[in-house]
Amino acid sequence: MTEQELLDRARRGDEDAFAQLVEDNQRRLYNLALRMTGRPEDAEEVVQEAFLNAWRGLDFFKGDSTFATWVYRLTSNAAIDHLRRARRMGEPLSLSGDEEDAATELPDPDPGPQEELERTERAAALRRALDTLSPPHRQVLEMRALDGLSYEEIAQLLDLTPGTVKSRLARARLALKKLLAEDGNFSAFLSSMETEQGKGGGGG
Amino acid sequence: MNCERYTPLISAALDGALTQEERELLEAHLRQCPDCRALMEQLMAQDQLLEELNEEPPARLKSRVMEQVHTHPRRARPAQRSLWKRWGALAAALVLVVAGSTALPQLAGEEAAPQASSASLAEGTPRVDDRVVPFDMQEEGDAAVQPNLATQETASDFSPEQALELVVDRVSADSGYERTLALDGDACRITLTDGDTVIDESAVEYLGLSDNGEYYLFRWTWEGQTDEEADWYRYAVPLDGSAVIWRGESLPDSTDFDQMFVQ
Repeated sequence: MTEQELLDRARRGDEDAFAQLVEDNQRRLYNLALRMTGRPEDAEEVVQEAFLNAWRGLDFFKGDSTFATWVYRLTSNAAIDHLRRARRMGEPLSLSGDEEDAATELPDPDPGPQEELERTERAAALRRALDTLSPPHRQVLEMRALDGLSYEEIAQLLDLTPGTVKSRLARARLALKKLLAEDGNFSAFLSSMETEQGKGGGGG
Repeated sequence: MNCERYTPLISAALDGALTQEERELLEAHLRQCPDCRALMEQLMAQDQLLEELNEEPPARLKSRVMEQVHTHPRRARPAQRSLWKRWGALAAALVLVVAGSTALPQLAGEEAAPQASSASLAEGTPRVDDRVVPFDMQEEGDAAVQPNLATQETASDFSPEQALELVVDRVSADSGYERTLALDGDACRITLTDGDTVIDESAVEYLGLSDNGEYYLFRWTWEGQTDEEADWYRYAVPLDGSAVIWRGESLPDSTDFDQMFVQ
């Protein structure tokens, strides 16, 4: 069933159709919310709120964008709302600025095999490098490489042209590569990759 | 070799976003440029690492979403605006309680709520009166407010006061704290308390009709609110009261809330 068919059915109150839309989008939205709130329990709450907003607002979704884009926007807004409310209520929370907390929470801290430990360290280092990027670069790279949104979807969400998304992504990828090359956690990884290819430094 | 011009193509190739012509151009270059081949491999690996940052959502997430969906049945926009039964059910759900039944919010005017097609919306807009009417939606008992029957019999739409109640509920019903509400002119003041401690004070203010005459507009304010927050916490209620739409949600283009996504 196409997204449009699912939407039509959901609009008529078909919860199974909506459940399929949830299934198709929940991973991306959960990770978006997790990046923004920094806490798994908050991310879960935010995604629930966003989907509920989507359900309640289906009649107001005109179909100018894809459902994926719309619900992505709802999630982003719900996360911002969540953080602001928590701040007003004086709850301790991990604001988006404290993203190292998020990075250290993400991997399972259970001491595992060496490979898992390396993966964990690499993920934390990668998260740090991402946070070092300029916000426009980081945003576009996360939306593409983590969230899997298309150029058109990113362009719509950020009010850019697809051409700008394309060129900004290229610069963001190069900027991240440069940062990783300077990072001890990654230099070994990257050089091993290059060794596999039997080549020296990367070009470009 | 001028490799600079190929990096955008390499990046786009990772996204499967090359035209046939671009692909041929890039492939020809890669055949003779080991540096760019290496760069492409690295960027591919980098993208893979980025994707691995994603976590699997908790298995319970979907079922929790659907539980909430199930308890919030969709209210389809009515083809005809005969809302008396709708409001009756809604009023019962709200369990609106006031200190005394004489303290009912009354419409200043007797005329029906404005229709979307009305040409003179500002004049026809009913206003909440300026008496301070304390009411508390948390506690049951005493005198439950009945909808203003005289108005309901003639009006096919919600009044601004009824819409205001929906917005107030939307912004504060789930706080987990005790809640005290007080009408104050076109606004409703909200006080959240935990025992004797005041946790938060805010207000929902009625702004009037949207330009297209289809929505009641509100904003949620509090002391020390930033400009950005003031802009952000705005709400719209269709005249038929079928939804409360926060600015953070999508709205038809014709309303005031044209820019939904704040980066």
